[in-house]
Amino acid sequence: MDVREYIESGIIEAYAMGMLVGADAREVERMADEHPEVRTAIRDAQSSLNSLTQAYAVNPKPEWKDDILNAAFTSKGGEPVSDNSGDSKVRKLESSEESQKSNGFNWAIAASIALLISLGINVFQYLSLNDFKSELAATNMRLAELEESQQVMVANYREANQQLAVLTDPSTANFIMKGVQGRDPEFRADVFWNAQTEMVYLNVRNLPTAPTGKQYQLWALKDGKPIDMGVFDGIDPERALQEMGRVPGAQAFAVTLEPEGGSVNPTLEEMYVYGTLNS
Amino acid sequence: MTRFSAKITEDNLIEEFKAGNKAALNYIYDAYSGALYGTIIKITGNEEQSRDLLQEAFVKIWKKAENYDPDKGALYTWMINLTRNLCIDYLRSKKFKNTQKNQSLDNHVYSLESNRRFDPQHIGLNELLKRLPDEQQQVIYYSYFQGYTQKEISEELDIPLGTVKSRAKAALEKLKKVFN
Repeated sequence: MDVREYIESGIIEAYAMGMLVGADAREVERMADEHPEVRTAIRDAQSSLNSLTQAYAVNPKPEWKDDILNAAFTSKGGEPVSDNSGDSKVRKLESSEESQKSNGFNWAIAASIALLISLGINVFQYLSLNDFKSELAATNMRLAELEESQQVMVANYREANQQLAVLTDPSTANFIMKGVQGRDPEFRADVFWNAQTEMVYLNVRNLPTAPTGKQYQLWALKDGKPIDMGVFDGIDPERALQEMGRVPGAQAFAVTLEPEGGSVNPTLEEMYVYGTLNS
Repeated sequence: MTRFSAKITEDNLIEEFKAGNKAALNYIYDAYSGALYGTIIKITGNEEQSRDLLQEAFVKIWKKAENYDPDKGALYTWMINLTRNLCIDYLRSKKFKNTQKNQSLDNHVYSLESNRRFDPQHIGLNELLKRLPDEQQQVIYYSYFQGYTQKEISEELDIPLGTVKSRAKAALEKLKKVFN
């Protein structure tokens, strides 16, 4: 297995998460010693996990700090942090009164410096924490935006798929409506009618946008009678196929321009396109 | 040998830490005790015990300071792994003696979501982690926070070893996106 494949296998991540033991873990360590790119991949994986643990941070109680550090210092054979007696139970503030009197001024300076350093560290930590929080918030928002746009895309994709299914369905019939006499012969709108669902779909290919206060209306013509199939404004930039009404069958379809909302009967003088079954 | 002279900065921290400068441990405590403590709570789910484990972690970190090798990984990684192992050992020694011994993984309530549900600081994190599929959260939780080996995870979840690894990989890739 070459190094690339090794890195891609997931063993690096398994190692970083601590789920490898014994020989398995040693093998990864050996590979890391031999191949710098393996080491880099491990560091990369560890860094994500480090961020995860840092995000779980809970501040320990401030009063624990002295005890915990003292315990650490004492355990290593050193003196406690008070640094002035071998007795670990003696707290630093209680013990050094004597020496404080003799050179209290030096102590005051040292304490001030220590305080300043500590304040500096606090400010630094506070700033980095704030940075982290605002970065997290920004990432959060960006994720939400992406998720939203992804939902829109998924919806579009579903719709496109449904439309494709309609078009390729053998029980779908096609009516091509073209500009009628007196209109631009280039005007065109196609109707797809599915015999099973009886659903009518409209694909407007070339019609001027309906003027304000007016809308186009689609009519199915069955046995010489017009049946209202709904209104539309023109070409829909969002979708190629507009879902119109249902009709059990028709010999032809036509589009007229009507007052907004449509009419009960078609205004024949305002007919734009007309077409019969395209067989 | 104890040195107090050098002022600790991010640049000399590792050198001073390895050399046994107490100020370095002080610096580390201020900078990282929160993350270590939070992780301990996350692993043990027990705040009382967590204080003692935090102390134990700092004792170990200080005792083993010389062993830390910067060429092998970041100081924080070294500390968090040391802390995790400590906690996982604690879980094994205690929990596995108790009734939970025979429970299968599925009976555990696993989750990467923070234990501290009402801490507003963590709400954003939980929202982010929810974007990881359950199976990926599961693999991080059991391995990184509960110390299961890949073989144990494979057996308990009844999935091949290769699948454990590929889930681990997918999970970290997703995690990287969340945090970077």
